[in-house]
Amino acid sequence: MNTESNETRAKKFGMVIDLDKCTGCGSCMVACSAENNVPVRKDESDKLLSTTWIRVYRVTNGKDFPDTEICYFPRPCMHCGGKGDHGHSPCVSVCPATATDYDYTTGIVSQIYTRCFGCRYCMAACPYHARYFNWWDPVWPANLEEGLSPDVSPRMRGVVEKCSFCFHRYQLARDKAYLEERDVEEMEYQTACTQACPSGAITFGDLDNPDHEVYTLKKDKRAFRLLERLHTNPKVYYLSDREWVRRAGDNYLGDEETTKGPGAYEHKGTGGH
Amino acid sequence: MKINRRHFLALGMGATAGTMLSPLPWKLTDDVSIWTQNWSWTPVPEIGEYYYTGGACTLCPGGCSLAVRKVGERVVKIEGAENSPINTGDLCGVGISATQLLYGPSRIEGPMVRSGKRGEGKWKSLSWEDAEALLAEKLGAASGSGVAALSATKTGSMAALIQRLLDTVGSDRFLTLPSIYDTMEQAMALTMGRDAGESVGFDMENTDLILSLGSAVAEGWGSPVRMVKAAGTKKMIQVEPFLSTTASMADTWVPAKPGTEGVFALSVAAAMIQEKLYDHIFVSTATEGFEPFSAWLLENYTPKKAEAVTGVSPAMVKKVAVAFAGARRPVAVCGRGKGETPVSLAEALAVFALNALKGSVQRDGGLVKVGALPYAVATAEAEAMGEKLAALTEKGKTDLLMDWGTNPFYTLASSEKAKEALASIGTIVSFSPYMDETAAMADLILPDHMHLEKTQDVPVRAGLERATVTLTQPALAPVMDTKHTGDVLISVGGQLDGGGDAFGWDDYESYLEESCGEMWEALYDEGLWQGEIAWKKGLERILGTSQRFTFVIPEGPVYTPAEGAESSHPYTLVPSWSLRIASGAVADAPFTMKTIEDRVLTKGLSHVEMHPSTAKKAGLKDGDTATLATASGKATVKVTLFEGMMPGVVAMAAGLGHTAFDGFIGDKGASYTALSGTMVDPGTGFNCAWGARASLTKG
Repeated sequence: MNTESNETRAKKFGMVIDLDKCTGCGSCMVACSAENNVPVRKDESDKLLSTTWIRVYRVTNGKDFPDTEICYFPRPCMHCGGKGDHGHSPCVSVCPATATDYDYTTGIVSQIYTRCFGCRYCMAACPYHARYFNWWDPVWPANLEEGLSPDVSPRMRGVVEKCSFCFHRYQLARDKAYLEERDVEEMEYQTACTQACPSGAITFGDLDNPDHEVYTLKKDKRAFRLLERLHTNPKVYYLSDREWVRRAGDNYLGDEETTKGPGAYEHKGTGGH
Repeated sequence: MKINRRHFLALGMGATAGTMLSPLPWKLTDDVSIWTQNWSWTPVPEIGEYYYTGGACTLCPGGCSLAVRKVGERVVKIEGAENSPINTGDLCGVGISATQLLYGPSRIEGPMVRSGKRGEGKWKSLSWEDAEALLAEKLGAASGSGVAALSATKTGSMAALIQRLLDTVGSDRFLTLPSIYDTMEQAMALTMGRDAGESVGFDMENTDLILSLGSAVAEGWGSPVRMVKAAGTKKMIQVEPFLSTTASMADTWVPAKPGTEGVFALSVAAAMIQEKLYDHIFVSTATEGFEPFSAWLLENYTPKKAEAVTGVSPAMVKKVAVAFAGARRPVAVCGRGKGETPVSLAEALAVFALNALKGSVQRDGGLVKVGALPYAVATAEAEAMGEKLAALTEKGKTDLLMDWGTNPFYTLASSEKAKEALASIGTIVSFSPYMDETAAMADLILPDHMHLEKTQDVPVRAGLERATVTLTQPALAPVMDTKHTGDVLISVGGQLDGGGDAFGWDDYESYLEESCGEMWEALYDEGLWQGEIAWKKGLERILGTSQRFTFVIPEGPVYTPAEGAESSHPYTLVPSWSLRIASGAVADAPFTMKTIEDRVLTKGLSHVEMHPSTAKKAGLKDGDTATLATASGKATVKVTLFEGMMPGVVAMAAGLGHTAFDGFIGDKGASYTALSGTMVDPGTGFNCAWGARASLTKG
């Protein structure tokens, strides 16, 4: 919790990603890596070890040639709010060291490297595979250390890392706004992936602020979230016209009905969880 | 006192419960994490003043402008320049990762001369003065016709300087890497007329339908960022033998057999004529040669006849014809994949004709002429480039080759034979900032600055709708002991016989300003110069004389089958393209390698994608290791099954198979180029290989 702020209302930062615009170009992945000093290994093809805070997944509609279609899903950390947004994200609920915590003023799930001792319980808990572990010390050959950003701590071995919704950018914007005795404006705090996306598929902002674009987009009839029925209450919404893409967003059995929009499952109040 | 087992257990449990309720374990976890993280080798990046400088990217022909974020003297991030009309604040992953090219392990530290055997990797450093004197000596000793130079750009201050150097030694072998623009410029000359220096563009911003004949609209064709935006907003029809991202995003995907896109284009044209769907007014008032062209079309390329070649049903051809004709401002584009390989002249003429049938020539949304760049120091138009490039990959024809930014040992090594011919060149000189395949085989390296370390004009040739030049800007002082190749050429040129007058400038900066002429002010102030939109200006527009088109019946074959016998090579290998894998002269940086999926590259082996039925036919399963062989070479690959592949077609990602650079990209995967072979287009003399027949054997 910060005490130096002009903000009177808690924010809920989130993202809306238009899957019908995403071309799978990977700019978001590279921009995130560059922005956040993400470690690189010689062999990045082992995806169990490759650290990518945002990762673009590829799904197909399963149909045969020539009716095949593909879709790309950029997946950052979902910054889950848990049921009712009470802050019981799966990862936060299991961390024994409070190295990860839910911030009620921003909705962001933090990751504090110096508190983490690497038990990886959070990685087991996260249903989105959004967390990555540094099995070894990151190595920066040649002069690559020169290109590291001072805004994000480089990690050491034994520490879990994940997308922070570029929290350092929020800190810089918040401090500037504080000095100018005003609130942070929408375009002043944008994540690196949002900024980098060439097709404008990613939108970022305060989900609770009616002036922000994400507020309107999250209510779009094309909107859905990943693994909705786990009640993780993720902050990343996806948009698609295509029914098969919406169905790729959760594990549906055979002819189960597609979940009608984000939060629909929650509000229905059905038992079982 | 007596402690029995019950007491012992009770005490133990009580102690544990009590401890858990105390802060001790939780404080211990915090302490443990701190004790295990106090390593001195964990970097602590220095803080400093935060600011942005400008710049331009040269990693692909796209012409994007950069916003380079710095912290003190260090470059920490590359972003797209907000005010660039071309990339409007965005950038592809390859451009963003340039920080790692700047600071990475593939940088060459300073001028070097080979000290062991060629390709052995043994070097001796020397001073710039000695290196330049050595180059001047070798140029002086070589016979004029044996000297050739490869330039990253066809026009621009550096191209002119390279040409000047070649002139001084009596050589006319100025070479550039061929691309779709070379073919299209020749097609434009025949159909629309072409003044020296004029190029081809497409008004993407104003089109309402893109009919793409195999172009990777969403994966790097043209100016990549510009086209990605078009892919997300414009209606598209994609003609391609497999489901690429572009094909999946398109409103209609036409799976035509590989290499037959030109025939398909003609069949659409024939359908438009048969169904009277073309723009009669435009054709009758602004074109010539329609009658013979239309007769030729209807005789040879009706949808029914074309089906035998393309595999596309007449119903689909008609659907595309109706969609193309029904759009208000459709445009047809060509250049397979990123357009790094030329197409045959016949194919380009076919696509141009399609545009003309809808009057999409020299008007909003269409195929347009892009004016010549008004350089004050001109570059001569290189003639017979196709033949000249072919001579490079024939043994015994070249004594000395200079490479500025093209990396021919990767980009032109389209077969073992070509690679051998290049390796037999007497003296190889590289100006590359990176230890690329060509620098690794060079005898003398005079490393240039990389694009973030120098000032240089970048003439853009990426299908933009108007003439454009950007300017690279030094974001920081050079990291290595490198020197601008412009300065090197001026110095070396001045040392040659007869070179004193030709290279009279003090340095490259003063030459650059003179060379850019009227463009310099805008370049210097804004980092960008753009010409007017040529077809919209003046008397020509009012009179309508700017819109003139001649239908030309192509002379050469519109479809060239891939070499090889079907019996021994039953499959067809084609390249697949991605904005995640740089496929030109400079390879991916580590950050970009992260984005390469494990269905494309695993543990140093390239994957080939194929339809499950194709795999079954070859006796292969998903994940199997196999040997892919074409007439030009072979490679060990892994199998990926994908239903979006046309049965019989096998796709491999272009841009892998590098054998140099650094430990991140080096020795990973197979090079598609090395397997692709040669298909010489009689119309232009260029190698237009679109693929190759291939065999696949398990193991």
